[in-house]
Amino acid sequence: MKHSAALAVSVLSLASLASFGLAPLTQDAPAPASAAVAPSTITLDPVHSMAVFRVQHLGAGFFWGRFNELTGTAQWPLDDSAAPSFDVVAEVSKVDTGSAKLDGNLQGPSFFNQAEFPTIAFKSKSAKKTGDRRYAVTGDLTLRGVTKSIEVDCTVTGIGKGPAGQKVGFECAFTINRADYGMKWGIDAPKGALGNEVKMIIALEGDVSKPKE
Amino acid sequence: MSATAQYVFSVIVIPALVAAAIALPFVLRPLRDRRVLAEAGVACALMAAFVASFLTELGWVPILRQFVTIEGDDAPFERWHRLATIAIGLGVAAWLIALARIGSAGSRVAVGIGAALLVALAIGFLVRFPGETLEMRLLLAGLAAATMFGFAGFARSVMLWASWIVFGVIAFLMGESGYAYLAVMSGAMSAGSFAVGALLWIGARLRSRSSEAAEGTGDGKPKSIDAAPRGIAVPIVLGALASAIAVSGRAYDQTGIPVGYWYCALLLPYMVLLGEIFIRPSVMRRRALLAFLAMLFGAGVMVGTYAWWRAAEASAASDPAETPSNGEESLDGYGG
Repeated sequence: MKHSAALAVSVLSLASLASFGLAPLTQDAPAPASAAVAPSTITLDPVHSMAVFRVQHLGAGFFWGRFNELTGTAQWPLDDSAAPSFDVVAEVSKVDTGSAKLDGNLQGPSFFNQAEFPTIAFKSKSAKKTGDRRYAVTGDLTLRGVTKSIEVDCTVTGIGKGPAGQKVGFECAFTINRADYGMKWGIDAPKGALGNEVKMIIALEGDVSKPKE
Repeated sequence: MSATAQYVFSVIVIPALVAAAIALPFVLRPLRDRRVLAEAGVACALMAAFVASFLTELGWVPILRQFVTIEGDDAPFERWHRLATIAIGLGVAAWLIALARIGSAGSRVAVGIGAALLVALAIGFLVRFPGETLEMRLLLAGLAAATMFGFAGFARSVMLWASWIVFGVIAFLMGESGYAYLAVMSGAMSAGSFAVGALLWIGARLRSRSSEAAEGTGDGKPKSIDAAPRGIAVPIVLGALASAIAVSGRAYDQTGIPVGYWYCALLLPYMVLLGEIFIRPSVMRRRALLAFLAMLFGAGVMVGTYAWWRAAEASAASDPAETPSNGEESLDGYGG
């Protein structure tokens, strides 16, 4: 009995000591069970990464074009414990509308001016969660030498397995006014030839590298 | 008026009318007989067609951006915007060249040739375009000189019909390459040349009639269509702008127009030499008409062979047998 009482007192004493001295230390240290997984680096797979855009033609239909073979990286913890970040580049030479002549026109100085501005780049700065695996990502879009901050709606579309390892897919969408980037032909002159508003949908797929330690 | 017609009117027709309005006092009255003023005035009028079209399309900011920082302007300098600055510079140079040629006939020729070579060299080194290597700059300077002398070889007002055709062909090539801005600006130069050329023709007829009326021998036909004073300032402006625009068009082209077309457009004035060789002057009484027809023929051959080449390219591209396979084997059968 005496031994049992002494053991109980000892345990209580240790518990009270812990409550005064040790407890603050354990709050700072991350509990192993709830630790966030380090973001994985996802190297974009150009074959399965592309951007499609649409713009209104003559105030009537929308025509679609795409930029093939996007390159770059994304950072994202596969457990969705943090927001993703992106560093994506599209080459103007990879624009594809299905018409070689139209591609050449778009690559010319009246539009993307490939000779002087060969790439379009997006680099994210911050992101906030808006839903399950869904984020509003803010970042800098550089187009025709003009850099502006835009907000992109990004969704993680899935995590899969390929022959080379894990793959992650994203779909992002945003809308810009092309005049903001100096691409003004066809908006006011000739009036309404091509719309100002350009909607872009970006499909990204990449291979997961080893997480950062 | 449709949006397209409005656009063409504002960026081609109005600049051409601006050129005609500037040229009016220099080709009709009161400055027609003042050689120096008329030479520089006509050159300036032609330059104004290009600048007016540029300003209608893009405004002053792309020009000012090259010299000063403009508040709220975050767009970068684009090399082809230098063309407008160069056009304005050529307008100033035209006055200096015309003034420098006051003197004896011998010194006028020397000053003219010297000025043309100097401006050609300046064009070679001031025009900015993608892929601007030393070789390309020297080529541009050479082309500019060749084009200037090509224009200078024409009888006075025929030069403007030649310019009408040369800039018309350049505008066509620009349109084909999708370079909408320079297509309409070249179109404005072409239309401006036509408008000023038409004024010269009208001026010549009026002059001819008035002199015949004074002499009482009027047969109602103009004695000459060469009412404009002969000078080097006009061919310098035309040659410098044509070569700078064509080389820019070639440098920015992403549609694969064969390089030769850009240069051949500049050398169209030399078609007259072929006309002189193959058609006996006795057949063509009026050499001006011969020159015009030779150039028109050259332009027709250029556009015709281009259309044939483009059709052949399109046919080859649509032939499935010609479509190359990328030959890449994928890991998962879907490119991954």
